[in-house]
Amino acid sequence: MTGMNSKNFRNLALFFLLVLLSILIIYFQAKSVQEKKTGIIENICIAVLTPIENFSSSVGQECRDFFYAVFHYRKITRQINLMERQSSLLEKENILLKEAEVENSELKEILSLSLKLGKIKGGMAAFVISRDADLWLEKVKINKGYEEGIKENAVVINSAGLIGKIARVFKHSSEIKLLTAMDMAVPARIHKKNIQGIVYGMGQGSLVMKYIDSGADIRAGDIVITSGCGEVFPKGEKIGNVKAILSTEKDLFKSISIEPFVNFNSLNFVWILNDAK
Amino acid sequence: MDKFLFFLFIFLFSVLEKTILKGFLIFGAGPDIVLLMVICQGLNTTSRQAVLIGFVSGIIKGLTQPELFGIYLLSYTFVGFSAGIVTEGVYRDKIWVPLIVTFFISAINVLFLIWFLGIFRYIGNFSLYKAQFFSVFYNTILILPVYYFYEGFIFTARRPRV
Repeated sequence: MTGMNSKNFRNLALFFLLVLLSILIIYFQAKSVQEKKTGIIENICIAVLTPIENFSSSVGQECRDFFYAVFHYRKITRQINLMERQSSLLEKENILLKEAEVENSELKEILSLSLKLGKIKGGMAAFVISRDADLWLEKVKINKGYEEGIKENAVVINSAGLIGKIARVFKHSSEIKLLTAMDMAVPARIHKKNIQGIVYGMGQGSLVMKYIDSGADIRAGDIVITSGCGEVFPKGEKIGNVKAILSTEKDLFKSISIEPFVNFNSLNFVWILNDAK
Repeated sequence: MDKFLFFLFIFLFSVLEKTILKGFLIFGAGPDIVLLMVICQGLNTTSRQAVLIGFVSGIIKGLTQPELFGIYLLSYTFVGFSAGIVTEGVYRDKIWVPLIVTFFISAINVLFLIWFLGIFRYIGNFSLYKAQFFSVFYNTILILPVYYFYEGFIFTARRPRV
C-alpha cells in the first residue's frame, strides 16, 4: 500500500515538475514575444520545417483538389463547358484583334507613305479587294476605278517598294499587273552604281534582271531600283536585293536574280501614283 | 524502437495537421491527431510513461509550431497524464473507453487552451471557441480509426513475435 502511494506520489511529482517546466517555458516565450525577439531554436525549427511543410502543403493541395473534383463533379463540368464557350468567343475576338492589328500597322505604313508622297499629285490609297488564285502572282484587283481618278499604267507601290502598274481600269475597281507577272518588264539599275538592265517577272516569287553589261561589278545584296527609263515607271522606286548571279563569264550579258522587297503574298493596301513620271 | 516509431508518427502528424488536414476542416475545426495518438499511448502504458510521452509529444508538436511551443508542452503533458491516470484500473480493451476518454480529455484540453490562448491574444474571439468545441466532436469521432491505426502499426511493434 505504501509502495503504491509512493509510486503515485512520484508520478504526481513528475507531472507537476513537467507542468512547472512548461509554464516556465511559456513565461520566457511570452517575454521574448513582448520583446519581439526570435529565438535560435525557433529559427532552426522554421528553417528545417519550411521545406517539409512546403512539400506536405503541395501534397495537401493536390488531395483537396482531388476531393473537390470528386464532390463537385457537376459544378466543374458546368464550369468547364462555360469556360470552353468563353474560350471559343475569346479566340474569335483574338483573331479579330490580330486582324485589326495587322490592318492598323498597314494603315500606319500607308499614312507614312502618304506623308512622304504628299507633294506628288494624283496619289491615292486603295484596298486589294480580290485576287485570282490561279494568277496569284500575276494580278490583283483594287477598290478604286476611273470614277475615283485611277488611270491606266499608273504606278502602284507600297512602303516596301514597287508593286506593279495599273493594267485595266473599271468604274469602281482596277486591275494591277504585279511586278512578278510573266510579261512584266521594268527598266532598272543597281543603286549607287551606273549599271542598268531590265527586270522581268518570272511568274513566281522572284525576279530576274537581264541585259546587264557582262563586265559589271554586281554583288549579292546590292539594291535594285527603277531607272526611270521608259514611259511608265518613275526613277528611284525600290525593287529588291540581288540574290545571285545567273549568267557565266562567257555570256554576252549578265543576268541576276532578285529577291523583291514587297511581299506579294500579303498585299492589302497599295498606293497609286497616277502622274509618277 | 516502438517509441521511435511513435514519435516519428507524432512528427508526421504534426506536419500533416498544419498542411494537408487544413483542407478537411468542419465548421472551422480540424482534428488533433497528435492528441489522439497521445491518448492511445496513454491508454496502453503506465501513467508515468504517459506523462513523459505527452511531454515529448508536446515538444515535437511545438517544434512544428514554435509560437505555441510552451502551450503544447503543457497541454500534451496534461493529456498524457489524464489518459494514463484516469484509465488506470479500467478495463481498457472496451471500445467505449477511448471514445469517452477522448471526449472528456479533448473538452478539458479545449477549455484549457481557450483559457490560455485567451490570456495571450485570442480573447473574445467567439468563432475560435466555436471551432475548438467542434474539434472535441471531431476528435471523438476520429479516435476509433486512429486507435486502430495505433494498435495495428505501433503497439504491435513491442509485442513479442511468436
